[in-house]
Amino acid sequence: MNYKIEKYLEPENKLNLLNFNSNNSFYFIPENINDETESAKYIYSESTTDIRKLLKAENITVEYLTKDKPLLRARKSADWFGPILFITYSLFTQNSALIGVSLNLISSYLYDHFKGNTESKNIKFEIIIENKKKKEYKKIKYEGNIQGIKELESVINNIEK
Amino acid sequence: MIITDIEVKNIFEEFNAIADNAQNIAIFSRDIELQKSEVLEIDSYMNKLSDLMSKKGLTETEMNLLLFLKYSIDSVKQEIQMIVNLKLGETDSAWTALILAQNCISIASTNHPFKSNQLNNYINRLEIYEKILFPKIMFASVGGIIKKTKCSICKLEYEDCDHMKGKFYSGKMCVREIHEMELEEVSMVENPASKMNRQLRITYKGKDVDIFSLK
Repeated sequence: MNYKIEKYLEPENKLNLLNFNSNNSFYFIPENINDETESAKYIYSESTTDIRKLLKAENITVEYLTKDKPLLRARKSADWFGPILFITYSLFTQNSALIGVSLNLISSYLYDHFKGNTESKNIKFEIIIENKKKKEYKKIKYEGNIQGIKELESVINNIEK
Repeated sequence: MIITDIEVKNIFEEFNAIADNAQNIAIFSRDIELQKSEVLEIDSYMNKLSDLMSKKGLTETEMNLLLFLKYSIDSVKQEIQMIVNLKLGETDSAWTALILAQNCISIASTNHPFKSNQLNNYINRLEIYEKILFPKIMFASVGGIIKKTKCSICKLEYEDCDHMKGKFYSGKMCVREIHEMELEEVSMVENPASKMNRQLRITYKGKDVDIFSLK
């Protein structure tokens, strides 16, 4: 499992500007949140739609950051670029089991998605974690294989401690 | 998995015999005429599958099983077609047949009715063909911003329905149709999303030649 944890400073002002009120669900964060002022131009990875459907089928709600119709970026590579997942503090404190379940579902989905393809596939996605206790955001940048995704649960737990 | 329709049961049983024979023919040293006639035989079996799929009263499971059989046997057909094309010196068509075979078995594998990994050996076999029969080539790949899509199953915006692309629903595969996209980049890559868009020519001994045959 290859991942990097870094401080994520940008979102608070942006979230305030958007009047963002988090509840205890997951959110998708647009890739261009820091550069784009108009929310209608927010871009998400094209895999976002399928991950939202996948989780919805298991009654796990994931919402886009705004109500705008999402624009989706398709990339040229066969690597899998996942959505930027935002885990709110309330989700972690009130329903942390959902995080592990969701990561397992994503992992199983990808295993299925790449069936029939023997070349090793690189998985890339990011998770932003809110920690209200420490008043900070952290970003996990994951790049690796499918198996490593499940292990991210313990990484998230350590960050939220 | 419960199959109640007798015709579906029969065609399912027939599949094993057809697939076994096809795999026996899908060996390079077999006679080309045998291989050509095997392709026609598989075509005829695939037509039977299509006819049965239009029968009313089949369950979703039965419809999806028939589609699974269709993709699976189509993959073997494309494999044999690849061998025939190679023997005829038609390398472009041979490549196309191989990639179609890989795509078909990938779709079948994702929708395997028993969630089994039993197709893995076959998947590996097609991968080996690619590596030993063809040179390493580059592919063209595009990236861009998708603005408008439709689901091939329900015709709603793909974002707004619950269907998942690549999955079977009542004998049809869900496809996300892209209706509007803003192009961001086109480039040559080693590991593309689709292997159909490939490099065609290369310079060899100072001449511009076909990348496969060097002629």
